[in-house]
Amino acid sequence: MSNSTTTRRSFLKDAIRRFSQNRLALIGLFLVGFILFLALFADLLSPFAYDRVYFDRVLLMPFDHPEHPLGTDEVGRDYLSRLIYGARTSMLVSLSVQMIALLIGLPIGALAGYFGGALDFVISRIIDIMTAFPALLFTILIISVLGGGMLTIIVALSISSWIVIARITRAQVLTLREQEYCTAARGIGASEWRILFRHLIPNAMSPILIAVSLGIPTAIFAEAGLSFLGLGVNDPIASWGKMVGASNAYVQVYWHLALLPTLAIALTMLGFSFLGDGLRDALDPKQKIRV
Amino acid sequence: MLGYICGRILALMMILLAVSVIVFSLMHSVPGGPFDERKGRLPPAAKANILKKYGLDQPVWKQYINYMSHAVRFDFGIPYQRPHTTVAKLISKSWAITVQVGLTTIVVAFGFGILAGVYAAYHQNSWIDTLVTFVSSLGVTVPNFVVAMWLILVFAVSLDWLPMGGWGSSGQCLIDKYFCTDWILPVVAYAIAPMAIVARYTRASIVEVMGEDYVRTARAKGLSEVKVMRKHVFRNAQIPMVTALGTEIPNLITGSIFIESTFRINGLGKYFVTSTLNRDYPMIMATFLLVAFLWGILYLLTDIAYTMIDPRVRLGAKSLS
Amino acid sequence: MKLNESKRTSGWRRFLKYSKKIVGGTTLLSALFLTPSAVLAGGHGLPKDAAPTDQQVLRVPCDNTRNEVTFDFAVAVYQRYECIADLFQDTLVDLDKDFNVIPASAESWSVDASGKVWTFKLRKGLQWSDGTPLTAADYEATFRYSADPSSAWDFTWFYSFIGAGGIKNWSEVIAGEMPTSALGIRAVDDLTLEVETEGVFPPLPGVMKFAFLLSKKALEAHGPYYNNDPETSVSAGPYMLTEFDPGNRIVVEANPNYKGYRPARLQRIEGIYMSPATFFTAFQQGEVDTVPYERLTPADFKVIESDPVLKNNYLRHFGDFRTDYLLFDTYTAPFNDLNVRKAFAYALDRDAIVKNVYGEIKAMPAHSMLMPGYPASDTKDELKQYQTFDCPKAKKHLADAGYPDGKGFPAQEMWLRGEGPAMSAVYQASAASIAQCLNIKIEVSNKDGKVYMDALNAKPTQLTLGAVSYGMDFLDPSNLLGIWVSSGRHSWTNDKFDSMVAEASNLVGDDKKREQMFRDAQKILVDDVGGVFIAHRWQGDLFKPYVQGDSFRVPDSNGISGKHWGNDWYWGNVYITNAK
Repeated sequence: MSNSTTTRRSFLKDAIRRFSQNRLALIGLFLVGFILFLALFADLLSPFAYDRVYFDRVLLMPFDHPEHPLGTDEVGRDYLSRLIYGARTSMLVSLSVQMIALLIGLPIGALAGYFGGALDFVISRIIDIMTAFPALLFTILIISVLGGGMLTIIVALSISSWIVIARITRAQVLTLREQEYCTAARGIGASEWRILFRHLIPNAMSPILIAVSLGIPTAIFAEAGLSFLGLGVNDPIASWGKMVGASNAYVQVYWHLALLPTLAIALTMLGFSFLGDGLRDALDPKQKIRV
Repeated sequence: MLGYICGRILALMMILLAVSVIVFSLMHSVPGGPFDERKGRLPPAAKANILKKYGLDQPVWKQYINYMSHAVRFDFGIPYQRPHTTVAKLISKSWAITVQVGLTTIVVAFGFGILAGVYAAYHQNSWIDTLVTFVSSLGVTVPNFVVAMWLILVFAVSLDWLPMGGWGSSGQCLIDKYFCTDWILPVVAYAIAPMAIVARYTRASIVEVMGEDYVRTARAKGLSEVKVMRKHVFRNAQIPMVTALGTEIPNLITGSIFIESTFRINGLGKYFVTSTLNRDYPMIMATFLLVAFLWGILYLLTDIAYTMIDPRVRLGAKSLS
Repeated sequence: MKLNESKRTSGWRRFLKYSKKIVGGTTLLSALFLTPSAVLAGGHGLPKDAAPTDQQVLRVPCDNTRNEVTFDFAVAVYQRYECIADLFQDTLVDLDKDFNVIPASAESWSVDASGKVWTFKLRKGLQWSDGTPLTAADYEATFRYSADPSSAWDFTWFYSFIGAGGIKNWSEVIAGEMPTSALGIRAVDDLTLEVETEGVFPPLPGVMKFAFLLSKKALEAHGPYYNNDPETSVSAGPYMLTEFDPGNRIVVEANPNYKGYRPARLQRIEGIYMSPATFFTAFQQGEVDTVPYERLTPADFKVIESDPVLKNNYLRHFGDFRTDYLLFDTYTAPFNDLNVRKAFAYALDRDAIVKNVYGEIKAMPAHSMLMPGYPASDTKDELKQYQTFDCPKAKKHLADAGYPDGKGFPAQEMWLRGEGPAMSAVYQASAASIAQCLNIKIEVSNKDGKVYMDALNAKPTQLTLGAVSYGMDFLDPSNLLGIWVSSGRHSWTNDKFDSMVAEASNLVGDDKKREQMFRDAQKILVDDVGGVFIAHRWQGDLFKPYVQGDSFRVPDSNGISGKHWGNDWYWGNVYITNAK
């Protein structure tokens, strides 16, 4: 046991070393940290409440007004504040989605991979069926059934996200369960559950973590896209995707309405994908190419 | 091999069946129907007439059986949005456009993507490599509806070089109604993300292969660079490329809701949105089934392609693709 | 790189154009290929400044996101090819600029002593584009088709909704309880059509504005969608279908066999499909000649207002007298309390919203349902005291309702009916205005139109708080006030209001009294806060300067120009000047 702990520790050390030598990964870490900081402290950081309306300050351009460095939107709300609160919406949606995906996908994938047989068959077929659905169309359909709002979006996106986690977990467990230390553990009479939870899942964690970290930008993208199509969170909650979508009608004159949330989405996605790539390189150095 | 393929096709049929049940029950649980109550409630008799006209007066399970019994004979009904045509005709017409968009995009994305990837890999750690890495990261991260909007603003509105939208209707085409000036913006907007993915894949796989012993050996043997690249590097770098193709192609040929609505292209993606908004049940069903079918078939083709380029891969060996 | 010319002409016609250039426009080629358009049917009574007939082409933008299935009102009202609808037939009557009923395909009309049987005399010599004479039997067949339960017409509600003005036996026929022959529409002879109503209804001739017709012959031979194919399409209107590719392009050309009241000056109208967000850009790029106001964004208006040419060619009018308002479920808490509703009515800063969010070119603040200019409307601001912005008063009402400073007031979700960005901004601003004044929470949720109407129409309603608009169906207060009676779509009841509207609607002979009754009814509506009225919309269209015609360039008696609602004679009047 202690032997396995030390190898894990040195592995972790190695991973951290590899990660800290990766410049892009550090940039990613910084960006993600910054966005998370904005999301957590939006109330303190933003100069105005996200829903505060000034009817005499509708559609100001950046620097038009000293109190609104990034201008105001079509209803007269401070754009900087809405951008900061938008980070909160993006993080809330994407992190919840990946959390739910992990909570559902991990046990289901692990059970299927470990016990095999009929259980595996059923779960694999469910995964097959879910994979066959065009993800965006399916999400739109589910949102029309459930009726919109932030909770609905989280639920709808989770439904298509857990599949990825389940599939990766299953594949990992499938290969790991035949390895020596499992056979050994079984030999000394460890229970199946103990083997699964103490040995297999911890060892399968790296690719799963990578999948989660890469799933976050996917969820951000999806939230933005749905909001762009008008299926997103309710007003006056700020969402970058919704801001881009609404700016469609204003952009010819008020270009800042489109440019700023676009940049926010791009930077966040960039941050998470650099971070995800970095994690992959650090945790899984052998397999460089993997979706 | 043949048995394996038959098994996969059978599995696909079962999946389609499951998809049809799920979609049918989901879409019927959305409020509203193919009638308009914008002004107020319809008189009960009038509403009953409309429901009867579309066969919606029966219980949902009966409607489902009714639909499926026609669908297996490739009769997908009449779209509520276009009562003078059939779903099959409307889908084939709109899908033809989507496929044109998709195929052009694939050619552009894979052509430029592979080129950039190879170049970057060959000149590892040069400034071009950094540029490719950066641009491709950007390409993956900026949503295509955002790219589309900026392309329109710059090239159509400000510079007035290209039409804002349409597909094959700009009047300036290479061949008849194909490869027109109005193809450029949608294809560029659509191709950027897959191009970035392909470039990243290509670069990564070539870099990996170039580090392998057999390549070093080949170099050491004095083989010319071009020959090394062609005989060893490309050959082995094909597998990840096929993986990328396999996941990107179904996406590309089933169309993008964002691209089609932004560039006013009457493809499949646009119809999905209008069908959902209008509760056009026959079109919703047909779109889902078509997309699910295409995904299934293309996954199968990808797997077959694996065996052709890499004899080590045996079909049927993996239980889950 | 302007592509306009080549963009508009396509296929072999483009080929011809170039070949004509090459051979110097010999008539030989045109004789060989261009026989249909060699004789131009348009160009009727073109003024001096007009461009030659072959350049009389109007290009209109069409919305490629709409659900459209037919050209014909009698087949599906809400799913017509909106940009090109209603050009293949004339209705019985038309409206002049001041909304007076004028003859169209009916030359004259009269009512019998009972007040219920109207006789319409058709113009002589009317015919379909295939040469078939147009008779009263076509009108009879059209109404019978529309009322037939198996056609499932989406406008059947209308003739039930107008009560006494409804066509005799309409409700029974659409319910399938009576045959369509029992309908109160009868062809007496080729030129005489009889319309029998359920009760006495003076505004009936105006309602016959909706009497668009189908060809009996084509209907029987090819079914209701005969107009969706140039092969089977027949027209008794000024234009006929020549190219049909909905979602892409629809083209109509002047009908050479037209004998009606609005012969075409234009030779051709091209409907070009595009995303609604791009209408204005297409207009600026010269791809289309006109844009309706709904498709102009606030940014577009900013451009229009700063450009004198654009500004002079944006023609503003009443449209369908559309009013935007908030509605409540007044049967359940918290909106069953009049104080809460009054608090909302006084918390809404209409002037600021109109000035800053709509833009004054697009709306005027509303204090009641009927837009000034509509019959029985409040032109003297007498109702302003009931619904106006007065935040302290609003707070007091909310305190009286038991929510001092908004404390304890439940958070609300206000629903919108699938609104676009501009209207969505308006309703968000309305919610914000109320929320900020009253210190309460209101979220705004933009719902799919069908989901919204399902919740609104449910009994009991599932919509606690919503925002919506309504525009008239015909020019009579019984229409816009009628939607507020307790059997209508809103969950608000006032017995006095109900009985007043019912009585006034059927009142004959005393127009003054009738109007006063509607005025009094509206006062009840605003005082009892059936809804909170935000603004009346100014509608309008943007035209290219070379698009001309008295029908929309010359102002009405109120000094308002623009393409007025229901002025179908516009299509025979509009033309292109040689300034192009």
